[in-house]
Formats: sequence, structure tokens, C-alpha cells
Amino acid sequence: MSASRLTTGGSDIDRARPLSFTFDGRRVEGFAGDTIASALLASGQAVVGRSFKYHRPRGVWGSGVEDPNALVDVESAVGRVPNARATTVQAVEGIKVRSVNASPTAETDRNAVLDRFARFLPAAFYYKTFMWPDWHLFEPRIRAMAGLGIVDSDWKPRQVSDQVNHHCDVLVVGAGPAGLAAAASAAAAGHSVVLVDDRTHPGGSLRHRAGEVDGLDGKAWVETVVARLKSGGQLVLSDTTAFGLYDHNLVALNQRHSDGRPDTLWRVRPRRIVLATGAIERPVPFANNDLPGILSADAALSYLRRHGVLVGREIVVATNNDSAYEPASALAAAGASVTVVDCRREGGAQAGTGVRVLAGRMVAVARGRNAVQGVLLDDGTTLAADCVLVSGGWTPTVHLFSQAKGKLAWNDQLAAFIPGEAIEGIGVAGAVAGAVSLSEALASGVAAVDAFGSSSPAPRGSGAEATLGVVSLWPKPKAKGRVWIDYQSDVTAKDVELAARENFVSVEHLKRYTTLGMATDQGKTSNLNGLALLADITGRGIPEVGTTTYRPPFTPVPFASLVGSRRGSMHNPVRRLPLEANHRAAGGVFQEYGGWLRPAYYGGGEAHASIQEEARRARQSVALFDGSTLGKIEVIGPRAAEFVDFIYYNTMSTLKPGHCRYGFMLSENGVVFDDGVLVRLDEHRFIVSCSSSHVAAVHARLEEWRQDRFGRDAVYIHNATAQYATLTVSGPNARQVVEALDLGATLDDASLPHMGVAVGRFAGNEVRIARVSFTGDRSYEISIRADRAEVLWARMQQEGRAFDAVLLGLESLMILRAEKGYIVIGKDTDGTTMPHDLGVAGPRTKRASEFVGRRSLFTEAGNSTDRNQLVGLAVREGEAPLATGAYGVEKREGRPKSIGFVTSSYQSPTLGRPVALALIERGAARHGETIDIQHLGVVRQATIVAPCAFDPEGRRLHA
Amino acid sequence: MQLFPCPFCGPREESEFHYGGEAGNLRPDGRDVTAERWAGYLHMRDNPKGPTREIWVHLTCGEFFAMSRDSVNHKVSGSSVLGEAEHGA
Amino acid sequence: MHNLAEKWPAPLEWATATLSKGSVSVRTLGGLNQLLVSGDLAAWSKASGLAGEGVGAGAIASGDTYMVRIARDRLLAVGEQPFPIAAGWHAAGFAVTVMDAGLHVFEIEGLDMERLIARGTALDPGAASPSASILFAGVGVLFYRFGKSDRARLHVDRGLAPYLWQWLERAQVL
Repeated sequence: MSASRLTTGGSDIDRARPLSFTFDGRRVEGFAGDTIASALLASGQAVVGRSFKYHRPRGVWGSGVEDPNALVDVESAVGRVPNARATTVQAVEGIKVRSVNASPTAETDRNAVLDRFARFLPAAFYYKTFMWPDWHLFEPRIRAMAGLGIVDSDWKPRQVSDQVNHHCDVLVVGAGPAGLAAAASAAAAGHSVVLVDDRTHPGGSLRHRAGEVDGLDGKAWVETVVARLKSGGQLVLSDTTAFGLYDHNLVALNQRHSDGRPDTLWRVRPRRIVLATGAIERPVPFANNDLPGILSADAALSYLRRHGVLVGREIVVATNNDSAYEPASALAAAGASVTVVDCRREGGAQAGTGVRVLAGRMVAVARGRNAVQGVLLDDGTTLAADCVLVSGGWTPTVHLFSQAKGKLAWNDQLAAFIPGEAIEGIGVAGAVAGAVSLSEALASGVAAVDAFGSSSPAPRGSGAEATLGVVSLWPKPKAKGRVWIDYQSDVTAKDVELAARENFVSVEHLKRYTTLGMATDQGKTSNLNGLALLADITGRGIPEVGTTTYRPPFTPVPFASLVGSRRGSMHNPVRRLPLEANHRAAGGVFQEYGGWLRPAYYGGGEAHASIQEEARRARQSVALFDGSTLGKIEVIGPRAAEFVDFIYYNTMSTLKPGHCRYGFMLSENGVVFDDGVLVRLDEHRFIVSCSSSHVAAVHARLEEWRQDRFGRDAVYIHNATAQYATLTVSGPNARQVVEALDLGATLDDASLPHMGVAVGRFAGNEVRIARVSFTGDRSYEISIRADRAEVLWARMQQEGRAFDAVLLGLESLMILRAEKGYIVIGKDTDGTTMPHDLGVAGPRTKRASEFVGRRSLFTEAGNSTDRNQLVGLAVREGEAPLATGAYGVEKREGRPKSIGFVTSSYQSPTLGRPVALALIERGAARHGETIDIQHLGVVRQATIVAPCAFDPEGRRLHA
Repeated sequence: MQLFPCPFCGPREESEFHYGGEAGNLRPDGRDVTAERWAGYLHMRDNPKGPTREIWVHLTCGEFFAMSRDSVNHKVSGSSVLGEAEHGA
Repeated sequence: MHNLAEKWPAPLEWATATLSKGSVSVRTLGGLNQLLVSGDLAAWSKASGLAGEGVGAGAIASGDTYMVRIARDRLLAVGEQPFPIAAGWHAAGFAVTVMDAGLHVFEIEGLDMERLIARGTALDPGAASPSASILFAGVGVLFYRFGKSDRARLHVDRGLAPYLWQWLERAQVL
């Protein structure tokens, strides 16, 4: 191949702005406006990559998104992009471009030898051959040899991708003649318009094919229309790919930037969509049709007119339609010697001066090793050639239409699928709709908008190709040599034949068995040839074989684009405590608990020792704890008491104002969903104090039962969790510290008993004081509005100093509550635990009124006698704590069987021994029994005891 | 990304909503409900292909409502506030 | 134990923190009184003397006392002065909860405000929605304009304010 840059021409490039970059370490010269592919062609680079499987040399084939071959890794100032399409990426000064799947370079790839064994490596070869003894033995080596670009494992975003939501009346995809006509017509009708095109310059075929519109040269008309759209305030996005069309007209766009910014993701919700996505030229089937130097005819014309690149000196054009004649004539006029081999007996359109036409003949074989050197025709004629252009007809780009669940219709005249029955709100125009000539394309653009209820005259156009005149030229079974169908996946006609022989005759099976159409180009050039061959082999028509399902994305989209700013710390935002700054200052080491960032322990020392020390000191005098994450959902209204009775397993309506009660909420399947304390402030107002991590879910359930059972007026649900900080004072000296805070509330046990609630004031703000304990010691939970909590927290620490108060992180609190046998839902319970498994059987048998989950407690499973029940486990003296999650096992019929598992396990510094909670089969009736506990193959013994290991009489609650 | 019409807020994106089950799945009350009836309420779903009537909740405003849509082509034909047919009061 | 305090940056001093770039700026609006009101909104209106149904998403509120609509039977009353109405159940048919500290308020102002909002929500700016409660940057907020078209207010759960700030900080138009 001897492609070269001409001294003149090239509408996309700026010869005044030369640039250079490297390809496989070699310097490549180009101009601003070049794509990497056009610069490589201009520099005579024939081999630009190696194929996926056989390491065949491959060259540039197309000029846009359809190109299956020219995949490259691009390293620039902003990072490395693997598997970039050289045909769509702009050349930039100083970038480093590397071919993929080649080592050391595309031209001298050391795995090229693989191709000699190709006959032993047909489709599915790996799975058939490497079955024994184990595919995984071979996989790493094979993966290293096959594949495409290399992911940069150190990649870090320099800047997050912008993500924009946008609304408009009409979105037009594709800024070729049809799209421009549609956009102009929509704008003229007063619609807001977004026009997107995946190229740098709008215009589509008008940028490289001859044509006049409304008396203007094609390119001039394009500029006029775009300028008018922009000045009218319409949005025109270039370098932007509409890659997905989703439900209810949501279109996702990925916009590339040339200034180093990461791509922008647009989520556009237009009222109407016009798809003017054009068509993609098909390869022509002949042996070795994948050699470098074999290009799409349209791409060759595009490189000539857009980039001033002449793709060869001695060119053979293989075609079955009229559209190849303009490239042939233009290349001849540019100085190449051009022979058209037209399979049609009559030949085709008027050939230009100097173009030789051989009608009624076909190319049978391409010759050459690393680049094409000539062709052999079906009549035995040989022609020398440094470049072969192919045009096997046009495949309409129906991807987005199909993603919108549009049905395709086979069109015999075009030998292609085009959009069938119209979809509401989506119009199609131009080549995708089968409009071949320029005037048809322009008219269809306007018509697509007219269908939305406006009316305007179409621009008048005249172009070179009035008709396509295509005859079918599909790959044939039993052809000589290797005829490539899918270049990127390395699938040949023989692979398709093999698949059919092995009865993979569904097009979806063919795809998966041969990987036809499964590469990064998703078979844009290959799918139709492949299924036409399958149709031939199986004696069916092409429409009968059908297409595989089109799914987004149309072209690969960087993950960074889809992710935007939602990564790292922003991937799943945690809630933050009102006093986080204070906890940081106190050396808090933070962890995430149920969606909140909370101090695990304080002081920043070694974790285990610090946590043990906090738990030990908490039992000695007094501890301070930030419990602000506890839910505070208000239930207010005339039927509030009746409502909470239904919501809770326990009867709550008997609760007196100024008191609180512990209870369970169940799911309808009887499983304990949440536990916590319900506060009754007055007759019509309750506060549901649910688990920190369950606030949203509990809130949603309350709303659901309210609206779906009680009626909207019965009760109202207000989530006030964020309004309050809840600061807890716990321990034998808790009351003294709270007294010292001077809250203005009477704290003696008669006025404020255990489970009593009082109201006080602190520094002018109302506070709520609840005597609720999660430690087993006398405790006061003081709730204050969150923005005033800091002063109270400081005061609590100040008053606590006299009592050697300790700050409790969440980890030491977990030890304290486990000593007491207090459970954490979801940790000490699972998706089968019912309230009677936790020792709370009273309401199940006694309650007369209805409540959530009630009936499920009396099912066969609910009544079963071998349920897992909450117990404590004691280990032998001197032994270490059991592993959380370890299984209780019992031999039954000679085999070990699980009888439950350890749910919580800690070393208790106060008791000087481990404590553990577990769910064990029939556990409640087995206290005193010793069972086997198995963990990672090691079996230990533990004795079943009551869950509460510390102060079982509960004296300390009142001490 | 679908657009769902909240009866109060109007059309909003799918991500603001949560599925709440098939409409008309009335809750039978009482501990004497037969096991079959209770299992039907808890577990048995029609899962229709085509037109469906479902309960959804609009998370941002908290509205539970009934929505008619097609489970094949995802067309939404309308939504309405909860009526007697949907809840088992 | 890995300290996740390193993953999430320490919260800011809200009183002084501002974000500003090009023609849009963000700051915290402290000290607003906020009441969550549910129930018979006509009865509430009568009791409070506040007329209207509250602004919906993107609509313009004004004055030193106004209402933001959340749901069919729920709104947020916002005022510079404390409301002389008790929390709890009112026999006239409405429930009141104080949310002064529970909802953090960001004020976003400038010509690019609209572009910034379009980064956070898919809500159609051309279509009115009666409720100001929307999903923004993945979290629930109340969104409305205040006083003029290029000034927005976002009320967000206090615990998520640092996240929303970080999101605003990273937004390309800010």
C-alpha cells in the first residue's frame, strides 16, 4: 500500500497547523483536523493493528465508527484510553499511539505465526480442545495471546466527567443531509432542537460526496444551516455519539472533547426524535479480504476529500452498486490508476475519465502478506493493486431504532433491513430509512418532522447517486480461501459454516458460538454478511433468519462518562453526624455503620485495646455516646394509637404519655424487621425510634400502611431524624452527670423511671430526656436540636470529667449490649427470625387485635418446634472468643448438619471472658447443653446459656 | 429510564419511584385466615405479560398510587390515587 | 482498623463556606425556621395566616415567610421568624413538626444556576411540578427559586449536606 498525502485538498485539515505524534514508537506527521487514522494513512502506515485471534495484520478499513480494524491505545496528557478507534479520534500533538494485540509493534508482531495454525483454530476451538483437564489451566496463556487494548490499572480521573440532563422538542441524531433538513425544518416550526453528530464536522456524506442543495454547494449549505441553527439558539453537538435510546424517549449521548476534558454524558429527553443515522458500507466477500490496503470505497473518498489523502496509486474497486463510482472517478482524477470490478453484468453508473470498468466479474482472491499486492478475478484475470476498495452495498444504521423496540423490514431493492412500522414519537430519515439520493434524503428529513405536526418545504438537492442499483453480493458457502466476515472477532465464512453444521442455526446462537458481531464494533460491517451466509446455508431467506438484538451502547462509552462524579467517597454517600468535627477532634476512628459515618472508637490508638478499654470503663462510672443516628419518626394524628398497635408486634396503645416501650416491627411474613423504642409524647403523638440503618425503610412502611389501610386523614408520618442529635449518658454515675447538666427536669426515679420520658431545657432549647438503655446500665438519652448539640456535648464531657467519663465508640457499645444479650436486627436475627424465636412470645399468643405479620406467626413454619432461637454461648475457661458466623454442628445419620450459627461474639473486659449470641435450633430449651461449633474446619465446644451474660437481674438499670 | 406519572407531582424519572406490588392484592385480616389465602396474599403473583395494574410509591413525595402500564412495551396508560380496589380497609 | 475519616473529608464551617465559579455561587443559608406540616392544608392556612398552597419544583417563592409544597397533604413552612404554632397534632386537622435544624439550606445564585441544576436533576425545567421534592444528585431535596429566576434554594437532610456540597464542588459549571 502506498497511501500518501496530496499537496492540496482536504476540507477537514488545516495545513498551516502541522502536528506530530508517535505510533508504535515511530514519529507520524499530520495536520490539525486529521484523525489518527488519516494521519497514519497519509504517512503510508499500512498495518495498524493485529487481529484478536490470529494476529493477522490489519489496516484502516473505514473512516468512522464502523471501522473494525484500527483500534489503538492512546496515551495523552489526560491519561490512556484503550481500544480507541483511530478513525474517530482526532490526532493531537505529542500523543503516544500504540497498536493493540501486537508486540513489539503491529508490523513485527511476534505472535503473527499463529495465523499459520489458523486451520486448527476454528470457532469454539478453545472450548473443544482445552476441556481436559481444566480450561483454567490454559486460560491465562490464551488470554495473554488474544485480546485487544490494555487497561491502565493505575488510571485515576484528573477531572470528573460532566453529566447533563437536557430537554428539547426535537432531537435529531445525525447531521447529514437528512438530519440537517430535519433540524432546520423543526427549528423553523418553532421547536427547540438538539442536533448531534458523531463526527467533528457536521454534514455527513455532503462533506465528501458531490451534491448541491438549494443552489449551494453541499458543504456551503451545511455551514449555512448549522450557523442558522446555532444563531437561533439551537444546540448543535459534534463529536457526540447518541449511543443509547431508552424507554420513554431518553437518549444518552457521549460527547468527546478535544481540549483534554473527559467526555460529557448527556441525558436528553426530547418530545420527538428523528433518527438520521445514515448507513454503513459493507465489505465484499473474497478470500483474504482483510488484508491491509483493502478499504471501504466511501472511506477512501472521505480520506481524499476531507484529509487530502490518496489511499493508493494502483486501485481496484470491487463493487455491486453505483455508489462506488464517485470514489473511483475522484481517485482517478487525483492521479490514481483505477479499475472497477463490478459484479453486475451491465456495469453501473457513469465512470469518470481514466476509470477502467470490468463488468460482470468479481474479485475472488486478494494477494499479499502484510499489504495487498493484487487481486485474482473469478475469470482468472490477475490485476496488480496497492489498494482495493470495496463497496458491497449499504447497511442502514438501524441500531437506535431497534433499541427503541422498532421492528425491521427487509428491503430487497436495497438488500438491507430498514426500519419497519413507525414508532410513536420517533421518525427516521435519510439513508437509515432507505432514502438513497440526496433529494430523497432531504425530503425524508423534512417529512419526519412534518409527521410531528408541522409543515415546511424540503430543500432541493441533486447529487451524484440517483439510485443505488445494488445487486446482492453475499458470502457463499464452500468458497475457496478464507473469506473474512467479522474482522474484529476474526470470524470467517468457514466459521459460520461450521456453526451451521453443528446446528447453531439461530442467529443468536451463531453470534455466541462464533463471536460474530461480539467485538467492540458490535458487527457494524459484518452482521448482515454473516446472517446472509447463514440464510444461504440453511436455505432460508434473510428476513427469516433475522438479526440479533441491538443493545446499547452503539459505540463503546468510557466508564468514567457513565459514572460522572458518583465514585469513591461519592459513590454511595454516607450520612454525617452533627458532631462529626468533635469526634474527629477526640481522635475518633470512623467506620460506616448502616449508611452513617460514625466513630468506631476514640483516641486513635490500637483498635482492640482501645475498644476493650472503652467497654471496661463504661461499666465502672459513666460513658458518653453519640446516638444521633437513631430514627425519630413521628406518628401524629387522631388514630395514631390504633396505627402503632397495627404496626408493632407489641401492644402500644396502652402506653401512657411521657413513657416509652420497647417493641418489634414485623414484616408481613412474620420476620422481625426492626426493633426499637416507641415514645408517646401525648395522646396523638408518638415517636418511632427505629434502628439507624432502617429509618428510610421504616418510614416507607409507615407511609404505606397509612395510605393503604388507615386512610390519609388517620395519621401523619414525619421523619424528624435529622432534626435532633441524641446524646446518651450511661453508667452507674449517669444520673449525677445529668443532674449537673441542669436541664430543669426532675430526675428522681419516681418522676423519671426506667422507660420514662421527660422534657427539659438546655441553653434555651427544649431537650427530650428518655431513660432508655442499650448498655444495661442506667442511661439517659438526651435529644436536642442538631445545630445546638455541640454545646451540650461539651458540657456533658466537662461534667463527666469528675466521674472519669469515657467516650464510647460504636464498637465498645456493641460489646456492652452483647454482654446484656441485647440484639441488633439483621446481625442477631436473619430472614427467618420471628419474635418468639427471640423469647418474646406474649403478643403472639395474647394479642387480640390485628398487626403486621400476625398470620405468618401461625403458619407451619411459624409453629415449628425446631426453629433457630436466640441463645448465649459460653466457651471453656481461658479460651478465645468464638468466630462470628461460626456454625453450630451436629452429626445426624453420620453427617454433620448445621444447627445454627454465632451471630455476635466479643471478649468482655468486665466479665473477663468471651460472650457470644447465637441462633441455635431449639436453643431456648437447651440451656446447659454443650454443642460443637465449627469454623474453617476447626471444631470447638460451647455451652448454651441465656443470652444475658451480665447483670441478669437488671439491677444496674436502676442503680 | 422510564417516566412515571405521580398522580400529584406529574411525570418524574423512574429512579424516584419504588415498586409496591400488584394492585388488588387485598390483605386478609385475622389469625384464622386459611394458609392458602395468606400464602396467596404473601407470595402468589400473576406477573402478567402485557397490561398490568400495579402499586407504586413516589419516594420524593411519599404518594402510594396505582399505575396502569404494559409490561412488554413499557407504555404507561395512567395513574391514579389509591382507591378502594387497591387497599383492604 | 482503616479510618474512613480519611475517605470522607471533614465537614466544613457552613457559616463561612462558599463556592463560586464563573457566574454561579453557593452558600449556606443558616437560621431559617422550618416547619413540616401535614394534613388539612386549608386548616393550616387558616391557622397560620399563610395563603396559597406552597411553591412546587423550580417555582419562585418570595417574602420572609413562605411555603414549599412537598406532597398532596404536606408542605414545609419557611420563615425568618419562629412560627407561633406548636408542634404536634392540631384538632383543626393538621400535624406540625419542627425541622429548623433537620434540613440544611443551600442557596445557589447566578446566571449559570440553571445549568448547575441540570447536572443534578432530570426534571424538565419547562414543565411545572406541584411538588418541590425531587431527587437531586441522587439524594432527596426540596428545590425552588427564591425571589428571582436565577436564585435557587435546596433543602437537604442535614446528614447529607456535606455530600451535596462535595457534589456541587465537583460539578463542571461550578
